[in-house]
Amino acid sequence: MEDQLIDAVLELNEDLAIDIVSQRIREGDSPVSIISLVQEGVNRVGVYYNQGRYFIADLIMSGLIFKEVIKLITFPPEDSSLPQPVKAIFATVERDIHDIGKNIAVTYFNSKGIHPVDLGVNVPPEIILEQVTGDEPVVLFLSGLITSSYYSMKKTVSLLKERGLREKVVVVICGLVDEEVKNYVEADYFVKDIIESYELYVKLSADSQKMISNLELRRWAQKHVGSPPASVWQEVREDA
Amino acid sequence: MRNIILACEILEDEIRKARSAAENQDPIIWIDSSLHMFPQKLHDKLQEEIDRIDREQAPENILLSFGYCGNSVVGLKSSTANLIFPQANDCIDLFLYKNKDKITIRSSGCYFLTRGWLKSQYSIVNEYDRYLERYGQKKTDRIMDVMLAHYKCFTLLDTGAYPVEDCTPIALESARKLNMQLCMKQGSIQHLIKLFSEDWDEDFCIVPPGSQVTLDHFSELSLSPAQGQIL
Ligand code: B12
Repeated sequence: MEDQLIDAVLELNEDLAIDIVSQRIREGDSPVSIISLVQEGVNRVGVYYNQGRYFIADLIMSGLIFKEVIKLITFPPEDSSLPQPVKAIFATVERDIHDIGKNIAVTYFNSKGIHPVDLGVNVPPEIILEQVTGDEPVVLFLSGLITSSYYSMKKTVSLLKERGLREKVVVVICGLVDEEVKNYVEADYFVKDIIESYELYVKLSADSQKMISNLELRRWAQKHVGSPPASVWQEVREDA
Repeated sequence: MRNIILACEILEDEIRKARSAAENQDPIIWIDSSLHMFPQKLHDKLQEEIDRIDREQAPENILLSFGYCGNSVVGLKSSTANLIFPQANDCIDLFLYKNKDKITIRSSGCYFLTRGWLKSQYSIVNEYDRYLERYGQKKTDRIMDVMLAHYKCFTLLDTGAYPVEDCTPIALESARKLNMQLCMKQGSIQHLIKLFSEDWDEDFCIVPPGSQVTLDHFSELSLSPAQGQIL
């Protein structure tokens, strides 16, 4: 994909990027198309960083440009692939204060019209659990780059279990994590990339709607004599 | 040959001092400290050196003066030697060895400096000047506000391995530029001295030939059954 706006972001030329965006808004381009070009620019900056061509400051700058652009677009578009967004919580866990990845993720989710609860850095398990109340399902993103952050992640998961909340929380870990860390923490998923995180979130949102409606269906079935159509039961059993 | 040392350049002052305190004569291979920025590349470089040492020198032990450093050591394996390294997250943990307040100090918004870190072109204080050149003052200030949002001070660790008074003016100047306070903390090279004097107690991991380093080797992550539930 080639576009002036992608290049402006990739070159980290904030003034130019803002000019192009303002002009395209005036010309009536859709917010979705504008934002996806900016996103593409930010992704390419990430690729340059991984190749050693760009530095941390450049990553931060791309995040700042992204944030400024979103301010120009008054109504962030709802992602149409999302039936109903599930609550998302972001936190850099206790003992760690690395948050560049998390902050870019916040901007990315915002650009999709999703507004996660961002608990900040060095967040103890208790504070995270305060956000996991009631019956509503939650996707919990825990970020950590320092080895001892894995311990805090594990503590958080074990507190969820202790309080009987584990079932309704999908735990996704991010930062310097891999399969081994995921297993240690007893998380459900690990992610290395913001787009992948968002796609996973979309999938989980869809699943959780299904989960909720299946739960309701079961409750309905318990209350009523007779059964719903066999095909519905089939679906419930598959999900159970 | 008994031991070979793999060492991070940033720790050069401390490693030299600790070796002489331990009267250690083992050969050293220095690893480029810029790899700090890229844990995967640091991992690959360490494995490459270990493979070469296995082939060419085949010592009994390879001493890694590194911490876990963002999982860089996880997955390392030697086919002929024991891999021996300190139980530490990173070099800051190494220098805060046996400090009871380590976790509090680390979580309180300090960016740590030693002479090695001050010299490194990848330390934040030196990166700042590069950013100024590239982005000018205003944008650099915005970038630094994000970078150091949760940091309050630069903490100069006096490890006893370099003349700290020589570094104070540069550290002060950097702190002033970046709107940070400057604090001083006593550090220690005792952990390194133990590494080099083969005093490998529970504060070290010893991974036998043919085995890989895993997260289980890192005791800070272990949920010791004696303690029952994790805290
Ligand atoms: C930038 C950086 C810093 C910055 C942090 C600025 C900030 N505001 O976060 C500064 C310079 C301040 C810093 C400080 C320190 N750092 Co530092 N730092 C790094 C570095 C080089 C890059 C991290 C980064 O931001 N990457 C860019 C982001 C975009 O990538 P990411 O976090 O992986 O995120 C991606 C995904 O994981 C995912 N993601 C991440 N979080 C989230 C959250 C959500 C919700 C979602 C959806 C996705 C997501 O999306 C991102 C997209 O690509 C790493 C090495 C590395 N390459 O990882 C070391 C590293 C993390 N730091 C390290 C160290 C040692 C330190 C210091 C101790 C150094 C010192 N001299 O004091 C201090 C910490 C002080 C303390 N009190 O403990 C070590 C940690 C070692 C360990 N203990 O395990 C590392 C691993 C370097 C190393 N090899 O040793 N650091």
